[in-house]
Amino acid sequence: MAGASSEQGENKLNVELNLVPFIDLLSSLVLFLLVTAVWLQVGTIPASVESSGKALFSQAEQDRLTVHLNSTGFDLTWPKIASFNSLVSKVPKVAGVYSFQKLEAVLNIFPKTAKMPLSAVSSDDGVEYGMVIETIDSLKRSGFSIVALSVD
Amino acid sequence: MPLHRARLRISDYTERRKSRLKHQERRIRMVSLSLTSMVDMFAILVIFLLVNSSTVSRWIEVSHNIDLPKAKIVDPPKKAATIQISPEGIFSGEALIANKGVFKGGGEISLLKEFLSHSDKKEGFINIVAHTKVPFGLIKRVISTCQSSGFHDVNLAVEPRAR
Repeated sequence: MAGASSEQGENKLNVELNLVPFIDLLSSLVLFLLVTAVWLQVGTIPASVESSGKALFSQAEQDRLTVHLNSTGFDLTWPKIASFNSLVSKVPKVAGVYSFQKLEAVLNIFPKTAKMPLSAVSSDDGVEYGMVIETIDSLKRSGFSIVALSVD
Repeated sequence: MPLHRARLRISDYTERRKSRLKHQERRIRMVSLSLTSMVDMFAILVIFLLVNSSTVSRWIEVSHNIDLPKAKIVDPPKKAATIQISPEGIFSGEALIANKGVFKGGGEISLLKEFLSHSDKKEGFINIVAHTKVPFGLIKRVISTCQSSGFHDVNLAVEPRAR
């Protein structure tokens, strides 16, 4: 027995992993991934575009919410199906800046139903594109999932 | 008779040599590097970069100092023809389609229309990457031009904002 165990002991290999090539491989991988990484993430907003003579939805004009951006603020036209007389029709700029917080507060008054009305965004030509995108985003966040972009 | 070199035993070493050997041993011990932690660190880095890398974003090229508008509710980008609108002009990749001179005026942009007539309309839609400060009037004209050239759907590129 003693002989066998001593034999086993002699057969034991002192295994030591060579880590250097492994580190080389990992560092090359890190470099490759760092070089090819895309740091700026990009998303998209699918714009359902409406233009003159090309109505996107069959829904009548009076049955949907329209938000128009002009130099003074937002003009809102509410759908006729909403029996709210107190709904705000204008959200003015605050200190010369479009107030998206106020717009969202107004939009959130509209009752959330399973079938939300369609909405459309239009704008004056001089308004910055970023403001239009933010308006679309505000509408979507307030539950108006289908937002058309009017380019008339 | 072959000559044998006299071999000294450690006990025969002089004190000076003994101390030198000890010093050498100490130096060797200090150099040894623990590679395991280094491997761990690299492995974590690789996993992080693999998880965060995305090939999807590459489909939409953003260059020419374009500052994208930000939005919270966004869709993943789709592979299609892409137009970039910067304050310097309208581009497709690195190629200039129209310089900022076309920003003035109205109606469709003829240079863009000509470019789009050669573009692949297989997808049926186009990605528009525009600078946030560009006037919306210009975007309207670009969209109208795209629509009349056969690109009926438009995806507007935005920078996702944390919810």
